[in-house]
Order: sequence, then structure tokens, then C-alpha cells
Amino acid sequence: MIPETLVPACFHISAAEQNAGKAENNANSSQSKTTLEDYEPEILAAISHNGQSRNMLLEERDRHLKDQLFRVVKIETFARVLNDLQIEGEIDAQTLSQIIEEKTDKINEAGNEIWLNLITREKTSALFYDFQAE
Amino acid sequence: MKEVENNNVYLTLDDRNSDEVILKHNLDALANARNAAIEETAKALVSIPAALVRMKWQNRREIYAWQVKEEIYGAALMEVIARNPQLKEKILAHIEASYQHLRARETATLRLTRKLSDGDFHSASVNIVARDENAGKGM
Repeated sequence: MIPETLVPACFHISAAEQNAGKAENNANSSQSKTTLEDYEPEILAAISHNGQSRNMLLEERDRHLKDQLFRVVKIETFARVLNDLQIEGEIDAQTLSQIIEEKTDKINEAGNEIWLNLITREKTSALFYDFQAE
Repeated sequence: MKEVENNNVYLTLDDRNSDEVILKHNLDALANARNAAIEETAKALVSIPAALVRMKWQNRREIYAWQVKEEIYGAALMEVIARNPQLKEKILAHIEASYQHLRARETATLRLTRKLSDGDFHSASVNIVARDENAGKGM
């Protein structure tokens, strides 16, 4: 449904990635290790169970549900980290609020770029940040 | 029978059990939504290309709002890292750990998927403070 990881592997805390490889082996024993992907046959509409022809409306529905989920999980993740940085005193509230205000202005101004990319789907990653760099 | 199950959601003290109950409810609802979508498509009188175009525009509008928020917070995190390079490793590790936690919770309950499917999800926000107008003015 959504990618296994969000940032380059070199920044992972070791525990987080240990399960990644095992998921496939245990796909059959739903008891021990259920993954998000195991629910797909029940949730997604376009998965063909008996060789029916593809339906583009259902494919678009599924694509949208997964796209939304990934975006929302990223928003929740980033909001949590930013709030934690404030709570831990790593960055003061004034500075962070100012940064967010600046980025909000910048990205709203560039709204056409985002809109155009939603139509062309030229770039699948984010347009204004990239944790994969370096 | 069903009602008894419902009540148990609030009575159980065992985290795992309540996760399982919530998951079952959410999975049932999502499967129903899926079946409804298949049925609706099957009996649709509209032409598929026209319906597809309409659906894509509506979906783009929804994603646009999510993407703007995602990009703002993502860019803000990059800016925090740029200003505090010593925090880079800590922040990226924290991002990944939070992502894994949310992913695991979603696998346990499908809460977000269900809310998105129902169309009533409200995403988290960063706490914003008003700009300090007196900063630097001196009293």
C-alpha cells in the first residue's frame, strides 16, 4: 500500500529495518506477521480475482486511496517530528513558526507547479524537499 | 451478536485485543466500500472515459491539498536541518522511526485508510505561535 521506508537506509535505527526482509516469507501465516499489503485483496477494487478485464475507474479509485494514505502518513510523520523538536527544545517555537510561514508562502505561490505535476505525473517524489539527497 | 462485540471495544484492557476488534470493523467497512465501488461501476450508465476524467479531476483536487501540506512540512524539516546540520542524523532517524510507528499502527488497525475511505480524516498540524511583535523592540 505504501513504501516500506521514508529516508535513506543509513539513517535508520537498526530495529526498524530488521523485519523488512522477513515480511515476504511469512505472507502466508497471517498470525505471525501481517503486512499492510496483505489487506490489499480486501480493500482494493481493481485486483482481479478471476481474470476479469481491467477497469480503469476502479484502478483510479485504488491508486487514489493509496496516494492519499501515503501523503497523510507523511504529514502525520513530519508534524510529529516538528512538534517533538519544539518540545525537546532543539528549535524554538518562534523560529519554527517563521520557517513554516516562509515555506507556506513559497509553496502556495508555486501551487501551479504542484497542480501541473499532478496532471503530468512527471515527478513522483515531492517537489520541494528530498531526504534522499546526499 | 454484533452489538456485544461492539461493546467489547470499550471494555477490553488488552491493547492487542482491542486492535484486533478495531481492525475487523475497519476491514469490514473497507471491504464494503470496495464492493460498493465495484457494484456502482458495474451498473454505471455513464461512459467510462467521461466518468474517469471527472474522477481524476476530483482526486487531483483532494491530493493537491494533502500535497501542499506535505511539501510545507517536508521543506520546513529540510530548512531546520540546513540551519542545524548537527541535528541531521537525529532528525532523519526520528522521521523514519515515526513513519515505521505509523505504518505499524496502520497495519494493526487500518484507522487512517478507513477514515480516508469515509472522507472524514483531519491531519495533524504543527503548533504555530504568533510572531512576537515586541521582539527586538526593547522596553
